[in-house]
Amino acid sequence: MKILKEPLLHFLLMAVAIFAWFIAVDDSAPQTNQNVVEITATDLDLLATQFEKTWQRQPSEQERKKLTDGFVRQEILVREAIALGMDQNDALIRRRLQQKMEFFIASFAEALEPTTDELEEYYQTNSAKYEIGPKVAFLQVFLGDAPQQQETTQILEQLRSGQSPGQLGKPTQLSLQVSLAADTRIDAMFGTGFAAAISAMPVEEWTGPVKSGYGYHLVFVEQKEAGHLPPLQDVQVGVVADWRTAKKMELMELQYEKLAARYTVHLPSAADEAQP
Amino acid sequence: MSKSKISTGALVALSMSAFPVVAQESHASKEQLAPLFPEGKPYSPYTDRDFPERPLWGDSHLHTSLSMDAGGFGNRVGLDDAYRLARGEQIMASSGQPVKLDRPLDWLAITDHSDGMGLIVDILDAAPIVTQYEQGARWSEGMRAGGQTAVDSTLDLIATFSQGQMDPEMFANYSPGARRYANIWEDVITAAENHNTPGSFTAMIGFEWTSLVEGANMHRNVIFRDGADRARQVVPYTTQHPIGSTDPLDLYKYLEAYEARTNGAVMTFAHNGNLSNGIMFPVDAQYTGRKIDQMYVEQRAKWERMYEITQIKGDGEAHPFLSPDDEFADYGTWDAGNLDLSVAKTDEMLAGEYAREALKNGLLLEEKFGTNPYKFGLQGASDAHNSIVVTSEDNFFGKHAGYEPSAERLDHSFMKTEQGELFSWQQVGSGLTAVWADENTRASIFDAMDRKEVYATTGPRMAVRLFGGWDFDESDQFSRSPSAIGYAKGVPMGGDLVNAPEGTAPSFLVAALRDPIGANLDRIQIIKGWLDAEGNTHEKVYDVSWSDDRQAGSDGKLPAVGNTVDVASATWTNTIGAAELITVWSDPDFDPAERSFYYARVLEIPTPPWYLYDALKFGVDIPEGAPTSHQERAYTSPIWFTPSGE
Repeated sequence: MKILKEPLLHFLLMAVAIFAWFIAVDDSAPQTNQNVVEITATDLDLLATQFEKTWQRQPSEQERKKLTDGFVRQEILVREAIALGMDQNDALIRRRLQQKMEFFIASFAEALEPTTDELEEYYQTNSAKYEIGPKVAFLQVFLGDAPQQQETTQILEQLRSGQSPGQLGKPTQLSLQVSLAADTRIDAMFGTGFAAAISAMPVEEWTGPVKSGYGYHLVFVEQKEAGHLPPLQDVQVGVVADWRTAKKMELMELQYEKLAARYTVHLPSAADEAQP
Repeated sequence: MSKSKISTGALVALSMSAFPVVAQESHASKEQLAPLFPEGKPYSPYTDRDFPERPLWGDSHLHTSLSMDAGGFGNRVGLDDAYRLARGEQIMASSGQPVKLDRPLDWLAITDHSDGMGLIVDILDAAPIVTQYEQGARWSEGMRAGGQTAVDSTLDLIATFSQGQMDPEMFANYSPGARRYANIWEDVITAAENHNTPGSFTAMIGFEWTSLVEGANMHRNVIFRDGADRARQVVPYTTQHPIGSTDPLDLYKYLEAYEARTNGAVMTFAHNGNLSNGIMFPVDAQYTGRKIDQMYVEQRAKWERMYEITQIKGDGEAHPFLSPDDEFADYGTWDAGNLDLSVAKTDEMLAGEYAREALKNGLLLEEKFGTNPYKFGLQGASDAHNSIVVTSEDNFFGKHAGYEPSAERLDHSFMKTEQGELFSWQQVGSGLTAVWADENTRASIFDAMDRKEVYATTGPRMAVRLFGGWDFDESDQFSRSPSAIGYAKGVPMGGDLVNAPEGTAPSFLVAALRDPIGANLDRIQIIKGWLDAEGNTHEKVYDVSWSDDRQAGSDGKLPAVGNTVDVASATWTNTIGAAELITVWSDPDFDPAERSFYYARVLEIPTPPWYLYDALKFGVDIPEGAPTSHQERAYTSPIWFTPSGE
């Protein structure tokens, strides 16, 4: 039953459930007379709570009265404003309503949990985002910025015959040995492009010269670690959050399309637009 | 006598009965322990090398659109894009042009102003929480209209705020205690959490406390060692009464309370003493009139672990008036007045403004109170207000959105009042902080800052090491691993030297490696400050290592390195200077009875300042009076010497 897995169905069922719940718990008196302003004890409690949130204390009697008066005043003016159609064509109100609707739709996505398969599929589709870049570990002997061919060959031979690299080449503050590091870290030390250059070198062999931001180096690549996708469980929390964000966008679009399908939109024709 | 014997006996009895309960379970003999601590050094030279190979680069001071002045001046780049840019991604600047850094940063602290944080974003969004107020609705409408109307609205908003005429009820929503304010802080924390990737990029949680008294700048940044779980337990500290305060002593109380409440760690560091009109580093009394006392010096030393010495609004190391013998003191000098240029600068104010003078006065105050309030590490930042960190002169996006690259940005003055004028070209393309941290994590970076193992640069990423000790010898500079020797024989930058051996002066191993894609180095200097027996402070700049085999002239001055800058093409060549400099230097004027400090200044060869690139790219003239080359630099944290018998 593929339809049972359809997020839209879940969404609609949840919506129905929430509306049903609202109707079930809504015990306020139906407003029969338009000119009655009914203030319930719950309303007053809410006003007091809001006051307390702001001022960190209970409102006094006088303040309570002011709050209530303000609330009544707002209610009456809002009703009159609506009656006069003032809520129409107000950019702020329209924007707020749009926002509320979007929050309403998005709130469902916050509660969604992906199934293992869904998450795995999402992870594979977006794997580029989670990949861990390649790393390389190496030793380097610095030759200066203008090494002589003959000298370079000689040092290379010495290194290949097993001589310790510690005292060969030119003295430098650059590290002789760089432990397994990401490309960005190596480039930060030796200059942009160096990591790519040594990654192309064979492993466990003195080779070179390779150019850095400082000059030329003979290098001994000790180890290369290919870039890879970590197991999903290692990065699951982040992936679930990303999945949810993606789902939210998807649901919003779906729901909008569904609503939009109920409407016919008339745009001005090219001829109309030509009119001033 | 007998009485005391009895009490001793009672004590022994007590200790026999009570102490074994808390004693450890295992007992070890000398013979058992000995093999665990073998004598001598291990055979493998690579063991125990757990010091960092390279410094971690970051900006400790950046504003996004959440800051009122940033958003007001047109910054539309939010938290996420600010982080993305720092991590090396390309983003769209507020002025609609794409921007990308030359290289990613290793870490970033976004520090938006705590007062009114987020208000401007809601105004631009026309959120009901602001549009329900007359001011909010008016500004919202004006700013959304764009063009001149938007500019006028912005100016009106800024004027209203600085005159304290903001609708208090509206502003209360953007102050501690309000739900909206808490939510904005939550956004700041969430963005940091999302971008914090231990090992590759660290996002420090922080904010700026913007204390301004009659236009005099006492701004400080606050950064947390901790993650969301602890930072969520507070909201930023502000300066507006009654919740906030402009007095740093009150900020310290907030920091103290945070640590007590969360068991976390936090620190603060000031910036732009150069715009404080003398009140940043007080010696006699605070700006409030309150006398400097033991409590003040102890609190300041405890919480202010670093000082932001260089940034866009000027370089604050030294001033030519205070250091007339230092030919390099006049770099990025902003000495027209206070922050808003409402009060002009006078010479008497300068001593309370510059880092070197503060380091010297700190020795004086330590002599008096036993604690040095100005024992800070040195670090640099951008303080950019357009979410775009500054890492290179050819990629300078200015102080705020209004000064992003354009053919006109050099035309208008940066600030102009009856008290003086600052020109656009005077914006300094600065700066960065290098941290000698073991790992790229919040904890490791914070701890390195706390022990002051940090240094400032005006942008280039040169690797600088400074170690001080008693027995460095000349051969150490020829070592293939100077830092191994440095840590073994001495203390790194930010450290202390005590117990001077009889007849021995301190020696320093100092090394600098140029930026791998930057300019060569001119020289390394050691700057010494000290306090004499009469209570007077002094300073001296020593050239200790330089390029091109130059010889000092008869006046003791080293000749200039030269200048390869081609003004028309905004280029230079590394045909002068050195890629690496290293030396061991011993203080020839050492007096073991005097308190002193030593820090290194590393100068690059002359390179083009940012406006030369503007002139080239936009075909505009170089502003009159603007130098056509400058020597970018690094300032290390000092190493302090304290005489024995303290």
